[in-house]
Amino acid sequence: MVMTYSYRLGFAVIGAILLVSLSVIYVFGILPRLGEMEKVPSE
Amino acid sequence: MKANVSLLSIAFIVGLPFLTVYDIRLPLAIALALDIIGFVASLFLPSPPKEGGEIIHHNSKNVLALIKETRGTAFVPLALFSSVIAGCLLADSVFRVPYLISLGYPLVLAGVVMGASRFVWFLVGHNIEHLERIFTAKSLMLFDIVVFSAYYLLAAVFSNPYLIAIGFIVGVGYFWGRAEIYNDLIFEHIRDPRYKATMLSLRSQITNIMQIVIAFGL
Repeated sequence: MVMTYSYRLGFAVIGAILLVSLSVIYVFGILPRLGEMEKVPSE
Repeated sequence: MKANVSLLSIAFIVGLPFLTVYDIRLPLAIALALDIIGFVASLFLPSPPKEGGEIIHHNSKNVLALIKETRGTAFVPLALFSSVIAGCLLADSVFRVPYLISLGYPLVLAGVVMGASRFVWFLVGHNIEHLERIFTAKSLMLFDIVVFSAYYLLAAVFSNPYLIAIGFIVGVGYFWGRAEIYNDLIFEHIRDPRYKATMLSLRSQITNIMQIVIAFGL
């Protein structure tokens, strides 16, 4: 039971960290360069 | 190609717990036999032809110079974005089955989670052109944010081990299947094509660092 709770906590924390960190990278790192990325031919 | 290999590995992964019923050494014997076949086959591979035997020298650059060269491009954010996801999924891989078992998932079906995720990998890998047609780079990354955050948060919230196992199967299979799209995106943002391998290796290093941090945190 304690192990299950620990796993749940671990997964919840990773999910929250992932959501925040990916959103930050996306908004501040990728969106400003998005025009440049969309212009690159995909061949 | 990777997708085809993933399909081949399914039978061995799923069959592992069932083979041990007959003999605990049977999976090892099969792996050894396959290794020997692979070793013998590699001996018969032809060497690539050498063209003139002349080595072309060029001014080599160190890693720091290469990183500086990518300034202003989307290489670093793209590498970080894909590495954070990869680091999380690689770090949690050892915790998935113990978590499922702690929720009452049968041990004998542990291989099914990995085997079925390989099948999803095969399906996604074979339909990657459709994915590239449906998603722009922007929408693919938004989709990834939602999918991988939900993957962890739903695994923490649900109590049914079979539902969580399906989540793991789909999440991991999708992650590996769509990885080539990120490789293509990263290749497009490397200014000097001679350093593609170095830059991909740099991305792998970022992934390894993320994996260490996340595994330690877990």
